Amino acid sequence: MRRIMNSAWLLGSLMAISAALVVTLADAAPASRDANAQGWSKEERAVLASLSLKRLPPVPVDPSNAVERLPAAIELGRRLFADARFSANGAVSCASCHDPGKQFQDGLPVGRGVGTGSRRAMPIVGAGYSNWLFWDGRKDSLWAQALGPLEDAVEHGGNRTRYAHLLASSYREEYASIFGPMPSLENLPRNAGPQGTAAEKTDWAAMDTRQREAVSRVFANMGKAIAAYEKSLQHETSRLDRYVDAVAAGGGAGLGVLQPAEVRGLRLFIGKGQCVTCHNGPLFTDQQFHNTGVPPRDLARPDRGRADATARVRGDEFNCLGPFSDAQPKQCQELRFMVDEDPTLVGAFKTPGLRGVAQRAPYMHAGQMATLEQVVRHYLAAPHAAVGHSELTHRHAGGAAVSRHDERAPIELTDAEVSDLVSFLGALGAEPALTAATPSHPRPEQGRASAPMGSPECQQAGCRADRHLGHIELPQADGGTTTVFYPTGAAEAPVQRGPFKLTWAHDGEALRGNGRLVVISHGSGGSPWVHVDLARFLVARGFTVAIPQHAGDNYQDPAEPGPASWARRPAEVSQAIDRVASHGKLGPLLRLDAVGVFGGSAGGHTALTLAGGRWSPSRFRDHCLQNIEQDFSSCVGFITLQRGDGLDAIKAWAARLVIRFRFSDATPQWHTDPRIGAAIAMVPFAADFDPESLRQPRVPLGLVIADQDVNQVPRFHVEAVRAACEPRCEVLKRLADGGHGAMLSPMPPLEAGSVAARLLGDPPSFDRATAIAQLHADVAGFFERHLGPSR
Amino acid sequence: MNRFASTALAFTALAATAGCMSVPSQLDLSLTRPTDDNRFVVTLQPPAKPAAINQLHSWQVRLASPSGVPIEHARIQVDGGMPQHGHGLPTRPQVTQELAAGTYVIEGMKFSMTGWWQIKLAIDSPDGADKVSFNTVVAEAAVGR
Repeated sequence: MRRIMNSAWLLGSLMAISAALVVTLADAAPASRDANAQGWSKEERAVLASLSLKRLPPVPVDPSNAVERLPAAIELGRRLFADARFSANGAVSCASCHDPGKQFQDGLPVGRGVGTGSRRAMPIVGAGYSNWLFWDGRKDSLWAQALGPLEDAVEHGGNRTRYAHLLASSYREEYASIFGPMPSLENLPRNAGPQGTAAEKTDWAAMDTRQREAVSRVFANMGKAIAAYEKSLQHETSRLDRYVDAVAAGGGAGLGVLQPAEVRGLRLFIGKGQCVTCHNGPLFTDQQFHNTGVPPRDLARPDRGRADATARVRGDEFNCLGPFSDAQPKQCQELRFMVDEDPTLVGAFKTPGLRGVAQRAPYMHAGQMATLEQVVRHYLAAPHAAVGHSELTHRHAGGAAVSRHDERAPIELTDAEVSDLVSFLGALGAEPALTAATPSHPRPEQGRASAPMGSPECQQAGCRADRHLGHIELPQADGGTTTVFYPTGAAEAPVQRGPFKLTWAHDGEALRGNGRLVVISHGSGGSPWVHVDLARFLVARGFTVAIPQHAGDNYQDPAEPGPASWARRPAEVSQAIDRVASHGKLGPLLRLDAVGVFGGSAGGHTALTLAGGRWSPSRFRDHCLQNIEQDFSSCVGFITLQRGDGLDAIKAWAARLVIRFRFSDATPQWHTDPRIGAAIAMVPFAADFDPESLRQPRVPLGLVIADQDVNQVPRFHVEAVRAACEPRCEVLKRLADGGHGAMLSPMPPLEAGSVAARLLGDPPSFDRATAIAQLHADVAGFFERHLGPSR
Repeated sequence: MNRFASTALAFTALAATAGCMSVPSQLDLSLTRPTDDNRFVVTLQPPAKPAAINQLHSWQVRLASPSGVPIEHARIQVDGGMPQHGHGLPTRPQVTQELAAGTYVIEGMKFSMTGWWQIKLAIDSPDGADKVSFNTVVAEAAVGR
């Protein structure tokens, strides 16, 4: 029996599940620690101070939404935000276009819901500071905004009675605790609303006034809950904040966080680039509407922007003065004093905030521009507007600069200045969890060209084929070895490790990569070798990767798997970071204030713990006592399978007996490390986590799901995590045809018909080569997004 | 002292911070001005406590004849904008009441950024119609959103 339980933890038994990646943000540049020496005048310092997140006041109260601060409303809104049932096809939630893992936008030129929209999805954090919502400001509150897409034909495509019925069936108590009892929906049509199809409109019209009012109120309340959630989201500090705070303080280490090019770009941003005239304040927006001549997507039908929106917001039944608003009419000052019928509104769109902008391509109101450089050059070119008049001006023909002082001066920048300005915009991204100590200031490599090589791995931007796989082994205090892979220019040589034929450059001289480290936490009984392909891919992208050997749960020593190892593993990740940091050659090339952690299976458990998750042995026990038949391998391991014969019941009984006695400790287990800046859990063992602890992961968290995983049945593990953490985590990858072994590459040889083959072997339909290449690219992209610049 | 630019100090600061977009050096920032055809003398009074950028606030207007007699029952339309940026006011302010003889309240004023703003009043009264334009410079100290 003891043997059964030990083997219960040998999940990846032959192999490993994790590794560590590190990125090196290259060339640190000298920077003055004295604000005066940076040459900012008193007036410029005042402008810089005005951009700091510290100057952002609390989000204004919306008098039209009485529940926006209720925790219950925030929680209901959080769930509604991610619930795709609120759509015509059951597949579109708010989070579809406002992906929490992507700054609540989707990276697409125009929104894609049940159909295709005509404008770019906007980020949500900070939206509570806007008086007017959407690019054209056709809504006057966050809650009214949330209702728009829900009944828009190409976004969610649903309707009011459908949503009311769904709230009644799935959220009745939660709704009632905030808004009071739901009205009776008996005999109301399943699908009816004033904005929908002809049939929906007809059915809506057939309802009596009181019924329509009641349903619209439920609908409005849904928006109020979603708005409450959205308003609870906050910006994180950026490197710029640290810099301007240091300038305000007269100096300090924060001055070192911006590179010279970024400082030059900042000077342009508040100076001759004129950016700050509209992108002002801590949110980098004046919240107003401007026509800057951005070319429309469809020249034949140019978007008139704000000009067409003022009448809509005035006539909106969900506006501040409408019957569903909680405000007194006198509180609706914005609506009362709204500008309309002004020619400058034609073709005008709201100034977008710029926090995180470098990670939010494409740009402009319909994603017309792919890069920030194109955006900056648009302001230099200052084309005439297709509709209305652009506020921008050109240098007049003949070369004389505009001399009239009552007209906007043209924006003129050299190529070098454009580059500096673009560099600066990269400093506006959220910084992953900061350590108390100020890190040295890495300098992103400039002008690095993508250098495709034969392998699919290197056809991604940012990958360099001339980065070979450096390899070094660092001894651990417990006798184990931390394997480190890093970029090197040295030639690789063949090596044999167990069944694997590999190549690397042992102890090759380290090249400066992107300055970032990723730690891979291997699976139960694992080794570093089954993560070499991921490590190689990350190294080509500039990361350094460390793979600690988890004591008592690795291929050499599998004696103490399960909770005993789970409790140690996160600390072993921390120790691996320490080890790399103190390495004389690797440490100086790395910026360890934001380290990535990737783990699969038991390594996924490690990653979830480092993301803030708390677990206990007793939770494992409870899961297995209840679900052992459905999640047999998680509870019993590689020793045996359920085979549908008479022995299954005996196996389950025996395992339950052991589990009941052995795992009674209910003490929550946790370990975090402030240096961890992002985490990815792939096919994790996770049934023992307290869902509450994962509702708000302390770092960006990505999940990789293999739908065919029979070892850790997704619905008990990774899907349970997802249900808890969405929308504050993201499903980085879903491998519809992948099994548990998708986390291993290279795949170890599996004896045909063995238990391991059944649990780890690829399903026949799994296209391993394609799926793994995409997975590796997604993992690298996730860490690049969340650990900071790695250009 | 209110932050709206009536002092040379504030003005200088602004001109410098705008950098790219310096405020013209001869800008007349006086808050009491005759109307274009000298029909009235108008005094603008900013709020006692400076409003933050993008915050609605109120101003007062005192309207008098050149000899100083308050002009009552006037209709005043408010317009304005940023001449250097080619855009108007972010709101449409309105005169909402006459507090005392010749003293009117403008509600719904808002400035969305620092820099040079024009406030234009079109006055229509039993004593005739006329126009006046004021300059004001919104300084960085007001920023806070």
